[in-house]
Amino acid sequence: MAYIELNQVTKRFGSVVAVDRMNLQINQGECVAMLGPSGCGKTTTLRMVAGFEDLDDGEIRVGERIISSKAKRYYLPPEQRNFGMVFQAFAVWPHLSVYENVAFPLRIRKLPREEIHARTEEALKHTNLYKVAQDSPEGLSGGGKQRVALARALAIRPDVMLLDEPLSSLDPHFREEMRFEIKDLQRRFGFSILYVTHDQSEAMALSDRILVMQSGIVQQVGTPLEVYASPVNRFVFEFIGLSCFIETRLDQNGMRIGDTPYAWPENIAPPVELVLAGKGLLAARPTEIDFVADGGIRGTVMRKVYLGETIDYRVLVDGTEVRVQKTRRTPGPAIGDNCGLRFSRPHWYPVG
Amino acid sequence: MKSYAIRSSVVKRTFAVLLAAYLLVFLVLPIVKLVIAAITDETGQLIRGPLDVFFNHPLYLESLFNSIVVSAGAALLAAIAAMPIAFVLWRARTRPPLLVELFGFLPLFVPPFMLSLSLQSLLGRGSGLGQWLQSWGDMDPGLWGLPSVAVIEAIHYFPLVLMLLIMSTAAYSEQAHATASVGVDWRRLAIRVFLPLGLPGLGFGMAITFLKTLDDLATPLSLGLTNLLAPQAFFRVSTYGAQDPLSSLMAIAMILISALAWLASVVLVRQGLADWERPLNSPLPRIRGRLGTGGLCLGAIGAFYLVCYSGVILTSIARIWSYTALPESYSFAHYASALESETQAFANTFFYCGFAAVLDVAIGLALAYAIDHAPDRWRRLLTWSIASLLSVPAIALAIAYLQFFQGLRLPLFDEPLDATGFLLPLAFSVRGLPFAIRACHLVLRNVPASYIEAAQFSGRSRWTVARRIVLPMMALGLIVAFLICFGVSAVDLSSAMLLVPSETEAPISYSIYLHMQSTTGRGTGSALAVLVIAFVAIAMTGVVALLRARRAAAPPIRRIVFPGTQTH
Amino acid sequence: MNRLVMLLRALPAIAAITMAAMAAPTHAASVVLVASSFPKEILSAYKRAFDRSSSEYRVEFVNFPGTNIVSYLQDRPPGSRPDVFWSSSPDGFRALLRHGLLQPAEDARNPDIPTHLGRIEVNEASNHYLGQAISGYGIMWNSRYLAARGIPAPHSWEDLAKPEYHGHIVMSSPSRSSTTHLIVESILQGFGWDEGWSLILKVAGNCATITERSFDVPNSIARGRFGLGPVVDFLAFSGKYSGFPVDFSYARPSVITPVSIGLINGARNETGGRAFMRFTLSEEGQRLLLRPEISRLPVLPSVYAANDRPAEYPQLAEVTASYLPTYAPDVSESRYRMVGAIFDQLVTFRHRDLAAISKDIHDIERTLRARPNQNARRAVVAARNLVFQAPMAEDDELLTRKALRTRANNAAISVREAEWARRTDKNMAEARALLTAAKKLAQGEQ
Repeated sequence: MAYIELNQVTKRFGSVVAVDRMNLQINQGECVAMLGPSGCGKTTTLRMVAGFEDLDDGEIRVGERIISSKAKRYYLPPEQRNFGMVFQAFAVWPHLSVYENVAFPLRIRKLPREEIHARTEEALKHTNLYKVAQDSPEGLSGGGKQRVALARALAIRPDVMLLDEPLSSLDPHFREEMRFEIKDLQRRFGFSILYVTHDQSEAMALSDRILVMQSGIVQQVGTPLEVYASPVNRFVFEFIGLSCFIETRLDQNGMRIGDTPYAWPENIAPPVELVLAGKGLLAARPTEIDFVADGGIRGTVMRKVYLGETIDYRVLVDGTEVRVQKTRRTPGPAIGDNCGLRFSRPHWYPVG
Repeated sequence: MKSYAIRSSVVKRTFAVLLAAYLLVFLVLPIVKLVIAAITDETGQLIRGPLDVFFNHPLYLESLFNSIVVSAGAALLAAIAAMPIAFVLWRARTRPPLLVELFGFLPLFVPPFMLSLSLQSLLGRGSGLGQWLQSWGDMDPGLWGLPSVAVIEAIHYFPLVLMLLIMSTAAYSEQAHATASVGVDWRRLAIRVFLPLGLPGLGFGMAITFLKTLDDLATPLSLGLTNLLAPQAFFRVSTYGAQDPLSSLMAIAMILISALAWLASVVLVRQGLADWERPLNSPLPRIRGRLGTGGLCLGAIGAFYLVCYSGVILTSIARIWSYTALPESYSFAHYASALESETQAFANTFFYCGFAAVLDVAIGLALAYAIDHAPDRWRRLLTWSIASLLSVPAIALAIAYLQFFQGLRLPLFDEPLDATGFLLPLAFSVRGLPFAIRACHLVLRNVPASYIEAAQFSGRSRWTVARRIVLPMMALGLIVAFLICFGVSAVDLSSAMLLVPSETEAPISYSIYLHMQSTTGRGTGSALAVLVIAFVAIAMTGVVALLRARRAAAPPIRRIVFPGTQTH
Repeated sequence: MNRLVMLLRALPAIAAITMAAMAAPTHAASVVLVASSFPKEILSAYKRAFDRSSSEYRVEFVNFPGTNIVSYLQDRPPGSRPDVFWSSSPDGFRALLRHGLLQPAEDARNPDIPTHLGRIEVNEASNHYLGQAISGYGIMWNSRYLAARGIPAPHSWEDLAKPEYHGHIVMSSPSRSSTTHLIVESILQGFGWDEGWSLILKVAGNCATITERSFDVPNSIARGRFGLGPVVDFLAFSGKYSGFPVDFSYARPSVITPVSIGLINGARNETGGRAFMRFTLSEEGQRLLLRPEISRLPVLPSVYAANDRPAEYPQLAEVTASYLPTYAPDVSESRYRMVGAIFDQLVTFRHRDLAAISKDIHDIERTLRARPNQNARRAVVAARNLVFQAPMAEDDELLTRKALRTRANNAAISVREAEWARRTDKNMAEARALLTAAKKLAQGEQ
């Protein structure tokens, strides 16, 4: 049974459709990441769930309750939805101490004094802020501030945690640490997470399911593996992970890059309609292209860059550049060498 | 349950209506009435009598001409004096400390007639240098004629022009040095780099000098000069009443001249600002501990102003000072009597200016919010029209108010509105609005929406959210905005002279003006003037201390001083 | 907020009245409330003296300008009004009398104060208000300034037109200052319209500057910025007795205005009010006027003989002798605005030109005294006649009707003003030409 349910949710700003008939179910305790380039409508969706934006169509439910509905003209105000929210800009109030920041939502809800204290302490402990409780958040690092924001959201014991690019303003090494902390907190408190990000690795690391959006339209929803391994279209393929697109001409016998032919091995046969159309776009992860001594499609290594653990090759095949990545330990050709390429599990998309 | 949008839109709409009503009643309608009064008779028929009289009256034409020449002269003089000094400082890579930079804005918060009176004490026949050097000739500024106004206003506004120049150029002095070190001539740098960089600051400073000089009433009157538009309009209103069509015509002429001058400067400023807004607003490297040329320059300027104001300072501590170079005897009695007898004036100032400033901050916040959330086209229009408010002279506004509100009676007290002094803070608030909006823009910028949303998320009470989160976060910005509006109103002597119903209800600047003219009150007036300048300086120091405490707020100051520029 | 401002503005008055009311039950009739427009120095001096002298009463003041007193009193029911009004504004008293807000207080009179000082009537005919002091007008000068230049002290208005005073006089405009208006009007009535204007223009031509406010005249003389000027007596005396090197002389003809005190109809504390009035008219009360910071002229003749009187304090007879016997207030009132307007168009707004021409005239006349030349003489006289002449006849319709503040009237005056301004410019141009010619003639003889 879905815990949060978005039905045909639509939002327009003037003539622009920011979110177009979106459907989504989130289960209790699940973490769903909304992934997409900026302006794709993911933050608008989050704000509609939070209650900061009205719907132009559709409805949103939490459990049995409707919280936003266009048809019923019903909107539960944000503060009554019992959600926690963490913003990209931290939004930690500079004039209150760390402790008061966390306690503020509880005070505003007029909880008994002991309970405020207990919950605040608990949230501070779980976010490792106990030592700086009386300090001003101004003195904390970005990660520290974000922890305060998290603790503040935690303290109200939310059913759902809404995270709006919470890690984008942090230093890279903090991000990873925070990912684990968020995941850890979720496990301990059991809330659902709706997570907005434009960073695919973050989405992969955190979420049970990923939703990829573009121009207000949901492109694909699935587990990280599904989305990575079986992208439904070129956009999703390109957005998740490194990609290499090659335009090819197709016929019964095989494919050509430029004029260089490549006979079909079994595993990469393109869909029939592309063969009939005579051309197709081959999409491959650079790591899933192998060098072969004989056979394969022939090309010349133009560039070879060491990226630490991996080596990045650019191979020119009759005027088309193909990007290949191999680990340091795999032997590979040198610059200028003629080499053969084999695609292990490419995807095919129509050209254009 | 009402939707989020509907709930907030009711509040927004109420605000918008109130705002529109305020601007309509206290700005648009009075000025429309002013125009109507100038060209129609009692029956509403179009007449050209007043126009004929105006253009056939040699005195009025002369005043019009004089006003333009004197104001332009003041602006030019200030610019000519400021440019070489700013260049020397630029070349010496001296960036004055923040406090000194802020002191450059003192001219906006101190009325220029104080300088005029100080110079009269200093250079007049009866005292100071003038008495000492009498055999060399008469140096009393009251006898120089029209140039005296231009010179005094130029001296008064020079620090402002200088600081604006420094601010617009300072960011690139390092680069200039780098360029010079590879052999580029400094003369070339002055023309190719310094001038274009300084243009926005220069244009803005000159515009302010022009507008303020045109609008200044007390300075020419203190010099006994009457053939300028402002004094003529003042005399017309005080002899013939505000319904006089000729004073309306003069007010309109002043508005037109100001608007043209403002437009001209905006064209100048705009060219430059598009390119230099970023360096202007980014924090600048401040070079410390290098005294040399730059420090000497600043020191000399400080000493010059100390000498200029020594007339007032000496008068404030002199017991008898008559026809001797220095006072015969000294005492602090004037300060005692200033503090004792002028409580009413202080109270008036706090009422008028405080009320105006509170109104300004409230309206400024609302307008700044509206501008931030308006569609692009509207945003430009709003920004422009608010900035152009700067070009409505205080005298013109005061005349428009007197005409528009004449005959209206205050409910409850059944007193004529124009006899209550209630109009004065309203005029102040309209005049302070362009400054308020700039300041409030920055205040809003310091409180991003997410901070408020985070608070809204916490619980139902909007009031608590506003009180506990929004207000404290805006507090510093609001205080600065309040102080700016307060200060701008406090020196607005031109409105005060026309709109104050009686001398006991005068704000402090008017009170100083009045005091300065009686034998026994001159000392008290001077003491008051010194107190006021000291007060402003202390307030500025306080603001700097606060800003230091929150460094993040430092760059905005620079934004406040360019009210004509776009924020986005 | 407006209400708040008003409330706070009215606070001192309310506080004083409340204090008086609260005091009432315990010390019945002990507080006397006086409405006055006088500055603090005067009021506090009288409060100290009165409270000390009287065991029964003490006095509190509410500050009220004469112009506002009528509406203020009308707004309060009888029995809750202040007791006494004390002001130098004859208009205020006339208005109070018209509205029946004063009651006669014959018993407060001091029998030693004569009903007439010279030809000046001290009290209102039926004793509704009583003269408490008088102010006269004359010329104030800075002795150091004149001594340094070797200029003699002046004694009459005509003196001010003399060439040696050129560039040393300072005066205000009758349209800006009521004391200056009184001086100008008394000259016009004393010398006659045409003669009067001629003299006023000559004096104005000798002025270094025309100040916007009357206070600036004694101020700049006291500081030695300028040498001399027409001033109301107590402003000169307060400077003199505060230690400034200034002196003053009553010039003839002049007007004298009384400072009056009257008992308000519907006063809360009538007997107390009378007691305070009696005090101000008593020897002690009159003597307070002699204090340097007050320096007004008492109406009790015996005070002038007192020992603590500053040396050279003016004698009553001297002052009253300068009084213009034929002064007609109604004439003054009907042309009040026009006199100001004429002065402004001919003097205030053209002062630098007028002063320059005046200087030329003095210079050439000085040359001519040494080397007479008939033609040059004639040219100078012609120039003088052009510049120093009244712009309109005394019987002009605009002067004799009471100029009401209607737009039509204002427009008529504005048109006239433009005419004067043009004529003044033309006259000045012609005078300048004549003077240039005269200068050449005079120098040609050398």
